[in-house]
Amino acid sequence: MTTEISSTRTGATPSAAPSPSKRDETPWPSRVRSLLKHAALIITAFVMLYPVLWMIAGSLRSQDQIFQAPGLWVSDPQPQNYPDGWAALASPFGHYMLNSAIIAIGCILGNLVSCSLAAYAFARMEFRAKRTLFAIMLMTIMLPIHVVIVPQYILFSQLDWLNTFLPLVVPKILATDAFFIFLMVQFIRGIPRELDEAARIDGCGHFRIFGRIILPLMVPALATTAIFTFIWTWNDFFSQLIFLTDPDMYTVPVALRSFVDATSESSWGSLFAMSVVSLVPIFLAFLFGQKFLIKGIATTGGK
Amino acid sequence: MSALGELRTLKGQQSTDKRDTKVAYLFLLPWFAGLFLITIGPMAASLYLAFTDYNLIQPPEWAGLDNFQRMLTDDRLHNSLKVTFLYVFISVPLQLALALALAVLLDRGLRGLPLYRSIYYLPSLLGASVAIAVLWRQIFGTQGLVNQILALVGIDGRGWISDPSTALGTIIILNVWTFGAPMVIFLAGLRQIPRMYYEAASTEGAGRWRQFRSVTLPLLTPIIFFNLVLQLIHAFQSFTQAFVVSGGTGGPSDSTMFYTLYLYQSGFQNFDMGYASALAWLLVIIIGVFTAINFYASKLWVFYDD
Amino acid sequence: MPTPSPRRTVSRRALGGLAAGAAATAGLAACGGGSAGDEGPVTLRFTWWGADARHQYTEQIIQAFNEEHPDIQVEGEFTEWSGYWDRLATNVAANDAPDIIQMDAIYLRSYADRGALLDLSQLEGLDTSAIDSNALDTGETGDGLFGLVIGVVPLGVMTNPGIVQAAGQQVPDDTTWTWDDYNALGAAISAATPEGTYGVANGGIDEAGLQLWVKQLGGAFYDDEGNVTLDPAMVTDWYEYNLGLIESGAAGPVTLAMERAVAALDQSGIATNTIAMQPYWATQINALAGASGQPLTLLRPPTQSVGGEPGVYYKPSMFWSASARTEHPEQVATFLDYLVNSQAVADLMLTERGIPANTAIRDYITPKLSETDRQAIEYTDSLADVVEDTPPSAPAGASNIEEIVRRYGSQVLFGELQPAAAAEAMVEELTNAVGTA
Repeated sequence: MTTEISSTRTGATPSAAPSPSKRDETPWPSRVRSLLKHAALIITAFVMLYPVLWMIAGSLRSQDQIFQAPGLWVSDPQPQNYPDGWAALASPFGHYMLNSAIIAIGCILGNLVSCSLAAYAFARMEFRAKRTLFAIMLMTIMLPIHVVIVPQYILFSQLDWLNTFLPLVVPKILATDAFFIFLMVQFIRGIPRELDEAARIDGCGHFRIFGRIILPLMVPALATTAIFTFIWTWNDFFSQLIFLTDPDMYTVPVALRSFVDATSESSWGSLFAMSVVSLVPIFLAFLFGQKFLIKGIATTGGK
Repeated sequence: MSALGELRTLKGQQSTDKRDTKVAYLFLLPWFAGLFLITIGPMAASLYLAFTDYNLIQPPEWAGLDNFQRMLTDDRLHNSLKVTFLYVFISVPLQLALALALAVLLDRGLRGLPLYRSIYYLPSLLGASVAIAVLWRQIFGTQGLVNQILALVGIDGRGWISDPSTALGTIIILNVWTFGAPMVIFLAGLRQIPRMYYEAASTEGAGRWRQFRSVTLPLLTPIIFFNLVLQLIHAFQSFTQAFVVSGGTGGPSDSTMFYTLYLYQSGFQNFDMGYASALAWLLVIIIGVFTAINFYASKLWVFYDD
Repeated sequence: MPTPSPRRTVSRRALGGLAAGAAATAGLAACGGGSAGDEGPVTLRFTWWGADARHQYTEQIIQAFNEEHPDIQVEGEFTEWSGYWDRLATNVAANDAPDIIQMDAIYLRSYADRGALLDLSQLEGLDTSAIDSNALDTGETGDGLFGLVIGVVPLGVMTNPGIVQAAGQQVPDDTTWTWDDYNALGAAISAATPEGTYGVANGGIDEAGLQLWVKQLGGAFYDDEGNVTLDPAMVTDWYEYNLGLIESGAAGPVTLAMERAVAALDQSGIATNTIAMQPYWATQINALAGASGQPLTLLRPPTQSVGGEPGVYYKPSMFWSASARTEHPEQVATFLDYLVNSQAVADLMLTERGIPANTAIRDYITPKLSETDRQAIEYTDSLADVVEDTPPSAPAGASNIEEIVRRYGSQVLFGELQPAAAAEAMVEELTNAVGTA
């Protein structure tokens, strides 16, 4: 590991001053090195890609081939699994993807706004009972969901929220996801304080410091939050299973589990086909979302 | 350098504290609302249930400390604690080390990095889907991929996933393999380190390894700390991976019976939600202690710029 | 005992037994709104577990029913097995149970004995006369009829004749074979087939296998009152026999069995053509033959000695139950009656939920069945002269019996526990679980 790390061009910019090792470096060995690095990355990439390739292979196999054919080669592709899986449940699979997307977007907006506000308070302000509140915040994510789900269900049932997206989205709007608050706290604390002290001396209040200085500087943390919220909401099975019982309201993970059952004949081809389909949005979200991860102080001009 | 609530030394701060509290509570308003409207009620209910005998169908009956007494003699609980601690203390450091190494490697300086990052994140995208369960069996099963590869070099494999001595290991591998989330957080953290520090270090003649040691690592400590705290909390609560891989059983012979899996079985399969709630609160105490230790220890090694 | 249900005006919203104690109830109970005299169709919630094929035809059943009964609106809710029980437990805990509930024998008494289910024998408009009376009894507890049996199914040894013959062996005469023959034949097949293929599957970890074994020895897990009567000596005996299967080479490595014990049907040894013989519920021949792609056949389970009791019985495949808190028992009865007696339902369901316990329906669908379905029915019929009473279903507290059997069995097979010690410990755990429930 250490050799890999030391050989990375961590801080290298075109203008970087020559380091001792750089003196005898010519473009050619550097190209070799980068080739070697690519080779290593590609081999590792295969290990990471294998499950998805295998899933795609499975999505093209017939029921009796899925568990019998080894490896990734598909001898007799069955693209029919895709239309079959799409139409197998009460609504077309796109319906469940739409439900998931609505929930995910609500959760993303909720988390971005409410968690960043709370995080700013914890990271940059002094107030009464701050440490206690911070401890309480962390404690709320220490309790396993299985023992709060029944009381939560009763609560949402009294609010008449069952079979709506509210039980899944409103908690995010109300910053119950302490993970992201803590994440943002850590990022805000990484932002040099001189920046907001300067603004404060210029007479800016907290809301302006938050909006004008901190928010633009924490784009990577916001992007991380958005990406994770999307992926985790997209994959979250248990709470969606419990709070949404009407098939019209089903989401992707709940719909996917409807293809297989431990006690009866399952549709593995459909399952894999729709798993592949449902992977596309989150993969694309990640691919595009990471552009914003890269916007750090380095590019937003923290001089 | 400072922990939360460190006194601030800049002049003129004391006087703003009172106003700060009001404004701060305004910032925290959504969170307060969530805490009081959504979080606290169910939490309090589960705390109450921890002292009851509650089978989910009939109303709970007060049972005093019965549930906690029962924990003392519950061998399966003790086993699940052992399994969970093993898992936490092996998989968290491994996963974080791998995530950090790859984050640094995939940070900048090569073509195609966005694609690599996305591919390396792929396993984490799969979550705990049914497909993962099947896949893991195809890889680590008695007739799985690993054994087929081992057979090529003449080694007789075993049923890694279903042998009580290796089953936990496969779940640790599964967890380490899904290092995407901490990696992304590290990547975001790396991006926040001002370039000027590296430039300064280079002009002082620091090599890349020195730069990593003296610039990257110290400035990344808040993020390392974050990942450590959160991964620890998550690992203690680890449920889905074991659930999916063992088909919800925690088997073979309880070798992957994670704490929360045991709690879930008690609550939902044995209709013993009172005991499950008590188990949950014991877990809160355990996680709480480790998190507190983490926070106190952080004063020694976490560097804040503020 | 559950608190009496407050008169609810909107069927889907109510307080849980849990909340009832804590949150001063009256005001909240009324928060559903609406008035008792609402016009329009009655809505019934109907929930089941399964995979997509079952979801599809069950939705069609609902549609057909709704068209026939414009005054009743049935709404389906479906998911797979493990999520189903989590959701049902949560719904029941919150007094928000669906009106009609697909139920399994393992959970029947856990819900019924605690007052969550409706006594169906009290329902008017539900005709159970065509249902085989022995089968009907399986849904009875001491307090009433809480499960309306849908189908019955016996255990059989699923056999792949192709593998047996490839090993140079004959498919045995299943009216005379013993467990020793089973072991010997299995060993011979394992020896004559390629690496990785075995004569028989490992036993010792499945509850159905133990039920059969105990029954053959004249014992039972529970008595009618729900007390544990399982004899540890019989369990020990079972463990020892199954260790013998590994010793002789008839069965493969334990790890393989453990993998398959938690995998889906399609990943089993029979489905992947790597095991010649394994006990299964007869109707599983459909899924297994589909996954295997090869013809399969069903044999009677071996006996303890030549001419011994085969110990086979008709297991209730699943039940229809109703929530004790349903506000529309009359409409529930109408729907249940439709489910078990209607030919339209039978046309769609065929044997997918088990061979119908309703004999009239069974005769009606027989000509429409697939080859494998017919095999299952023929096998079931062939047992008519030897079949025994169905053992009492699992009492409250024993809903995790499958998990208990698997756990102790695996500890024996892996050599962590001696058979006798494991048998004692297992019976003790089961007794405690039932005693404290």
